[in-house]
Amino acid sequence: MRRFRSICGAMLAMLLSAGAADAQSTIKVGVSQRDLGAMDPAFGIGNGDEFPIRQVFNVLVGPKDGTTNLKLEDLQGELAERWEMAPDARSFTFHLRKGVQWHRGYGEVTAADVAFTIQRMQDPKTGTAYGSNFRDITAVEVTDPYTVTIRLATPNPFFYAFALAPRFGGYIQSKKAVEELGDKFRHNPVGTGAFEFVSYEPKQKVTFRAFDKYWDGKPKVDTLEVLFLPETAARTLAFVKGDVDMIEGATVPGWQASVVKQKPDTVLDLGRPGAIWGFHLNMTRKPLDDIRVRKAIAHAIDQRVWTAAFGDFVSPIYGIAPQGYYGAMTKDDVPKDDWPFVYDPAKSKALLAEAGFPNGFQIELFVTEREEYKSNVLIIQELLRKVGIQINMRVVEHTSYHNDIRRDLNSMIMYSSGQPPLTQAVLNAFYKSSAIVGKPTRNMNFSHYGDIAGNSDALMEQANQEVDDLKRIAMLKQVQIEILRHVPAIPLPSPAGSWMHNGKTLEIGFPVKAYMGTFTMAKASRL
Amino acid sequence: MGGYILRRGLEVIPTVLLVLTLVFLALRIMPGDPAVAALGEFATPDAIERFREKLGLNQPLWMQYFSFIGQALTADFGRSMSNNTSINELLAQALPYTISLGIAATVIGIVIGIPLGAMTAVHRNGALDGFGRVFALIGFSLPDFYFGVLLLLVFSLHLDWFPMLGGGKGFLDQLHHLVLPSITLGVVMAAFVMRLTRSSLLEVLRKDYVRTARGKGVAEGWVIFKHALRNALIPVTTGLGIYLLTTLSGTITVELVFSRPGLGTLLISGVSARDYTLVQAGLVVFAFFVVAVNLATDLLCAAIDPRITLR
Repeated sequence: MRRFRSICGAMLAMLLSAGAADAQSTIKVGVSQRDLGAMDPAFGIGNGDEFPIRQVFNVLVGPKDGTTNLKLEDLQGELAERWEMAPDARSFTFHLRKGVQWHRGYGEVTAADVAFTIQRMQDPKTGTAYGSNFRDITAVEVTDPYTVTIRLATPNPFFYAFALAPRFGGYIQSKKAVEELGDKFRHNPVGTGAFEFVSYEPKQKVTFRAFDKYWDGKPKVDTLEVLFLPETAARTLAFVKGDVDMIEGATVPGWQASVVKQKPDTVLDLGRPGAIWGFHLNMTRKPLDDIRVRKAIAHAIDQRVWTAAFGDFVSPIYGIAPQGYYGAMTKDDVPKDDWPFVYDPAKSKALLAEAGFPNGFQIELFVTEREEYKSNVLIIQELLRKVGIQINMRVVEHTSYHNDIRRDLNSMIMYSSGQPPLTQAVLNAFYKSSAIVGKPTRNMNFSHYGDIAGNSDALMEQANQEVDDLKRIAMLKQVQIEILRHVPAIPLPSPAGSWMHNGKTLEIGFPVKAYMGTFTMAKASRL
Repeated sequence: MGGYILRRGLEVIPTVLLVLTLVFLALRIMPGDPAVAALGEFATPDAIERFREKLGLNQPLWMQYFSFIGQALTADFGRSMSNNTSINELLAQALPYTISLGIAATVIGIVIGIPLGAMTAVHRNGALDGFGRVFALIGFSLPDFYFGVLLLLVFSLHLDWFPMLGGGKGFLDQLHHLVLPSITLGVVMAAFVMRLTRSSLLEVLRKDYVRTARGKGVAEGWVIFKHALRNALIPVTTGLGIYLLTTLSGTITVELVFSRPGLGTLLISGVSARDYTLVQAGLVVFAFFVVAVNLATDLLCAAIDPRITLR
């Protein structure tokens, strides 16, 4: 009996200790995506793809570590050690670092790889979602193995920010590896980044190891694991227990505070400028075609409610682009006369009465079940109820939602989006007439601004091409004011990119201010 | 018996075809576009059209249907629409986790449920019976996702006895990862099996042949285990078969709660990405399990009571 008991005891001990021996120099990061879409930069979407891609690949020039600041003078070189923009903003020349190696012995990075990357992204056969960022390129000239010049059809001082920045398809790819690996490149990438790909377990994790020959010095940790943990509860518990060192946050009111309470050594990594939350009014639908109704809605929105619900996680917004975006409006830029985005319920009711709705009206809309969408619409529903507008909300599945809003089926559209932190990018995506949903060139213009109410295409294009920085910023602010006076949408407070890491076990090497998964773990170390 | 097996086997064919057709149609009716889901918010209409063309989504529905039936019959499900991995490989990686979870939960359900059910029936209205009823009530009342989170909080987060995430590597580690998920599903199953065994055995214990055996002076244990329990197990086996299917769908929730690989995780990820090929393949495998479990239940009942094959 004693022997039996000792055998049972030994088995139990083995069972309980199984898997406990983790390598000391492994960092585990939990992302909210269900699975990897692709690690090929031409096809990656969302944070779950972006974060792994960022570890494996480099761009020519990028924002400083941990930031998303894309101002030309603030950039830091990655594969390029120097770069020049022509005075007319129609060409960019990049001088590559010498000796930068591709992973797994694919040789040295040359200008031919840069040219190949651009041609691949431009080629419609590639089928990338980012092809339009490279549309204006007329030529890529390889002067020598380390010098490449990109020529543009029209002046575009922010070309690099649209096309070559992290996240938007700008990662440089190895010609040899892409051609050799074909479709396998998607899940077996070869890059130049701090970590090289080791393995991918579908729906579970991607594993990387430190790249010995990384151009900026070998990372301090040996292994990096990116785990797919879509359930907020599971991700949170794993973080609190210490099974993962860093996680992507959740857009749930009060979530961050509750995690910090349970795990006081948590470091919040709130990336700003943040993403874009907007409530778009479909101006083809009645009664939203009436400017008085749209103004009434705007006057009923009180931004302070978001601060009360989400705390530091959100920042007030004064124009179309969130604060911190290049060309964003500040508090001082807000016009003093008849500005619709001032909380004034009495004025809202008066405008409704003037429009023929003294008792308000009812309107149908549908929204996705995703927290960041639903929470916002619930807040708006409550605020509008106070002035007599009743929103009858139907909750639908997320993929269906995105499908149906692009088919112009909704009357009021909540949209959460990550864009390059440039006002031009936001304007192009949401307010250009070519971006109107239903058009062949459609993007995310759900309000139909440009065809209905006003049209700011010319001014936007002028701002895109303006070479003088001060003039360009002034024009971008002017466009925002011009658009917002027609109230095609209600810009909502901007949410920060939300990550958190264990301050006792992990040091990232710089403060994380990037709002998406666009920071590297190249300088991370275990404490 | 051979004829019975053949007859039951043939009956399965139209069922499987119907299931395949329903799976195919249900996915096409469901709103949402796999191309939009796969390419993201920056995708241009051109890129979306190319994607649809590449994956055959612009083919007529009947062509897509026959292609799917062909894939199902040859067990070659092609590649995932959302990330281009081989679906057969995905299934091969996921299935062992789901099967092991289903088996472990069933073992827990049987090992706890049948003896407890038998003992509560024998000691009807006693303290043990009271305990059994409370156990069944708790088992039925606790939703598996909630029970799973409770187990995680106590045994993983606070006591640190069991891991929180994943399915483990190697036999012992996998066993370690299996404990909490299988308890989550097994306890609910044990409550069901216990109730079924108890009521079935109580009914059998009232039968004349049991009274006769007792009257003839056969030992009480022999009466219960040899005469009564064997007959009481026929409805239990049928019920177990039906409940096994519930457990199979329960694995989806449990896999999500424990971030565990498996068929449920595959399916949920496929549905959210509108990955038709992946969801179709997953549902075909689920349907195969349902048919197989039903068939196995019928055959098991026939083995316990050979008179069934004659009906």
